[in-house]
Amino acid sequence: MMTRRRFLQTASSLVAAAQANAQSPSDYRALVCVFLFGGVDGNNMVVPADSGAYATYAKGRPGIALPADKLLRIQAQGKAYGLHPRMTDLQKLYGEKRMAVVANAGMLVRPVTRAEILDDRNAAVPRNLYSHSDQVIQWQTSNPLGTGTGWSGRAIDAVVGSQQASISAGVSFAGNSAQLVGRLNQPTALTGSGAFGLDYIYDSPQDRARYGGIEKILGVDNGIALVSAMRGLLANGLSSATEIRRLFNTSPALKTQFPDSGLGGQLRQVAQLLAVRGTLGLKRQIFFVSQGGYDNHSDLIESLDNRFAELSPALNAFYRATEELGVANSVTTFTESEFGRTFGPSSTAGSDHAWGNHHLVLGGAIKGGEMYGRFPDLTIRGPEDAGDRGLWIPSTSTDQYAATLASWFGVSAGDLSEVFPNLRNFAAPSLGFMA
Amino acid sequence: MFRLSSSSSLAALLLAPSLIFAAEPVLVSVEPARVTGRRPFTLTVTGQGFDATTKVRLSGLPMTVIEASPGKLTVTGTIDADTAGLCALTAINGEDVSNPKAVEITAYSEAPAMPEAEAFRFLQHATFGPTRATVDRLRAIGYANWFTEQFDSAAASDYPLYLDEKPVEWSQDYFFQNAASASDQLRQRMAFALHKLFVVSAGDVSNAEAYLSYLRVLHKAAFGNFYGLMRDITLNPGMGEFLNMVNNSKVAPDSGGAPNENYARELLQLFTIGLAELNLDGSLKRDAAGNSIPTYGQREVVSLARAFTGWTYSPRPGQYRGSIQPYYSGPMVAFDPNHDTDAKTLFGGTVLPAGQNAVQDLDAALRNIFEHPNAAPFFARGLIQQMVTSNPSPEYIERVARIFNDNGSGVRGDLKAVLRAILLDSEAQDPQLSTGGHLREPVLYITSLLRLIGAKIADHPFLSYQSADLGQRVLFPPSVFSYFSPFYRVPGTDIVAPEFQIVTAQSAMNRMNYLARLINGGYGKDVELDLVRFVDAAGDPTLLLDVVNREFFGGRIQADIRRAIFEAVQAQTDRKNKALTAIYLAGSSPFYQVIN
Repeated sequence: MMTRRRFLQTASSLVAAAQANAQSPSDYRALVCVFLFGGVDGNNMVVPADSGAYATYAKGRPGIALPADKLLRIQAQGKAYGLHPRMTDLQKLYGEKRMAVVANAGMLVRPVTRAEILDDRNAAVPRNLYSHSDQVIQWQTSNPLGTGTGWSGRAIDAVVGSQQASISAGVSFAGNSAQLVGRLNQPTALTGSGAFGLDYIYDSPQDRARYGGIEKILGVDNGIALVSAMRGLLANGLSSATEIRRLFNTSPALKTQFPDSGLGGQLRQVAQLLAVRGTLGLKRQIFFVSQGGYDNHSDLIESLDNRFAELSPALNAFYRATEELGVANSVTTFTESEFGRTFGPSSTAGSDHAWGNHHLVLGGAIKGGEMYGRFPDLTIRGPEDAGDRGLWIPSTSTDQYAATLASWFGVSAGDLSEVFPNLRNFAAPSLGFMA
Repeated sequence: MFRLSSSSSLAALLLAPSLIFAAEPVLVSVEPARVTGRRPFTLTVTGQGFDATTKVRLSGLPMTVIEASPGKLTVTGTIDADTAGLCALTAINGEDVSNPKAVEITAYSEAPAMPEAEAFRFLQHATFGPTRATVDRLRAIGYANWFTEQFDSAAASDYPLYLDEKPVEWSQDYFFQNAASASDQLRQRMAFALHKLFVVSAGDVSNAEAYLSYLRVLHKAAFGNFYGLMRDITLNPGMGEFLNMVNNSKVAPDSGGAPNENYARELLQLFTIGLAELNLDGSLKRDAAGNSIPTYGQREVVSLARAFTGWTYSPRPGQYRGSIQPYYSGPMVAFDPNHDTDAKTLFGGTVLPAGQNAVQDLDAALRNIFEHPNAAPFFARGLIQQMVTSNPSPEYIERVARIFNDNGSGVRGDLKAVLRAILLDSEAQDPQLSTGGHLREPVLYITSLLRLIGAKIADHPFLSYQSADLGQRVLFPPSVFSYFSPFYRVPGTDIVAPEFQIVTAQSAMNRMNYLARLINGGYGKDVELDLVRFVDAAGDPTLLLDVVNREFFGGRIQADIRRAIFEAVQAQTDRKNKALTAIYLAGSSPFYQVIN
């Protein structure tokens, strides 16, 4: 194995800048978005458990209903619900009031009814409902047209502004996404393990000359837009490699054990960056991580078992790590997913693309142990079905969900309408789940 | 090893040729300085330190020394190329290599040869990366013959039927073998493009037999007709598993359940017509209020899902029909008891009447989609993005879409004609467009460099790991949405840049590290490198830059890039490191990473 004594490690002036800013901000706050790609089946994540309501649930999902005696019981809004059987850790966090459920949230232009949707093909609904790509972008931009910057990027713009720090206030461990893209701030996107940089460049005069060549080349513009874009990415790669490496090298070992999974690994890296937050000079950060595999058109029962068996312990470990670091009250974790799934099953023991969905919020700053929003009436072709298979019309908009988080993050009431232009179409700008 | 002083003419005169202490030879002149490719030539080389054992290389290839004296060599040879351009000639005593002298190889051709830069550019679009030999071949025979050669050659490479119990990952080895070395490059490149436009991921279809059957459909479809592609893909058991068309069954009305909508939805949205109605030039149609017009709604998706019910695995040869054991090496077959025979209304108001069987409904539904006005501009844009540019002009899309609609002989969906139209379009050939080009996605970046360098691959699996490390685990796209979105934009701009979606700060560094590792021998015995022509030229950095300019940039390097590389080369102490420095800086530069 080669010793990687990288020239770059010592070359950056950013290190000095970051250390000069070293102070531990007392009012630190961070948001962590866990995006569940594929459209998680919320109908089997939070299940009504009172006997009458459970009967309706079981009748509507032949072949894909969870058995009543396996549900992990919670109380919400004075009624009994059950979490998915693989969510034992999350049931415990809910009991400790560190987790809340937001019911039937989704993208909306404005509140809309089944009658409007059935009567008018041009009813005010988001563009391209039920399409993965469009709904991912709409959730991430909080814009029913799915264009422009990400809502988290705009929140960073509003709170952090153009303050320079050694790394971006938005960091993704799950590659590029629209979520963190702002007007003033562009995220740093990472993939895989945290430490990275140039191999084969060491601290010799010859390698310094090579590195100098790279820098000179990256300074040349030939007027071709995509070439310029790649120049920017390479330059960002060189500078952030240096800084991320320093941060991970100085981050103390965590006692909290993270599960050995893709999501567990991403959240462990977020925790490691939280541990060195004091050296960044940033009081606000938003992280983006993800878990895939939720597009379960078939074999829903087995697939969800596997996914939630990864999700629940990873979220739990991350929350415990924030306790260990003393930032449990400063970090709020929340789920996003492009859409919910049809309540009625597909012919292959799965569920198809739908709309409104249940979501989870975790942290020490939330009013946990409760459900927010309105749980849908699970009647096929009932008042909350946009079609004839139980495609729930959201009763809470993504704008309200995200705005509640963004307000806590520090977006002022005045800036809220700029960050969420669509928010004005809904009566309550906050769902009230943040303390 | 003991070395004599490099420029000692005295030593050369005093030492008999048979002595083991060979001197490092020195070249002073070469006559003529320009020779014709493919034709025998004779060169007279003057200098110092030659003897009967002195060998001569031109562009890394051995020449024949027919006469040697201490100050003069007479050399004969041929270079099997029209396009070698400026090459390094060196004399070698044992391990000691002389300074290089430039010899220009000019084209042997009756007709005016295609400019080298043009051939280089075309092959960046049409293959997994130009090589000296393929540039040469195209210049010699011209486009028309080149297409004929590629279209008519029986598939020089294909995927086997079975992998003999080996895991699906082995199909990646076949993929890289084909991409890096197969001669039917256009078929391979087109099949890869189709893989990204009609996605099946080996991450979900982990049965090797099923996945190979999908890959073979792509090979076959590459030069076929779009309708045949749609039908073969729809009935492919790999796709059947991936998007749940296999064993999709009718469901009793009012049960709350329904036929699986997965294939129906993605066939429309991703593979054939897209979400919004398009003009022939790919721009959005608008209604009176200026809004885009949805191509279809949930009702049409449900109808199409019902039309596609009633298909199952083909019986394994020798088994009776109805066996449930999956068989993947033939297309799916109809099982009408599971087919929904009620009437269905597709988009555009087309009605499939009640009582049709599974085959009738399938054919009518696919024909309905094939004839949709969106098919031409949607596919034209997608394939242009895969092959040539991320931001094609509306005019370019329209030119190609017209060929899709009618190949000139009244045939719709002729993919050979579409390919020709894309690759020979004036916009494809114009390197000056500020919005032109596309990023080499990881697979293309990996293969282009291997092919450029002339590396021989002894063992392929490392390339699969490498492609994953760069963000594109080949044949395992994360979802039906492929490796990257055709709509991804450079953040904060309007520049469409699909391949950039999988470039992060981290994978950008990994790209540079791949090249460094490749040329520094970091892959050990898996790769055999052929860098002699670069190392020989490195005795004269100007000549080295000439060679690098032609092989990496088709002769179009910018002056300040050339200067930056030149300065870094000058700082290196030996020829090998000079050559490696030039290759590393050229190949990792954004000017190489983006094909333009």
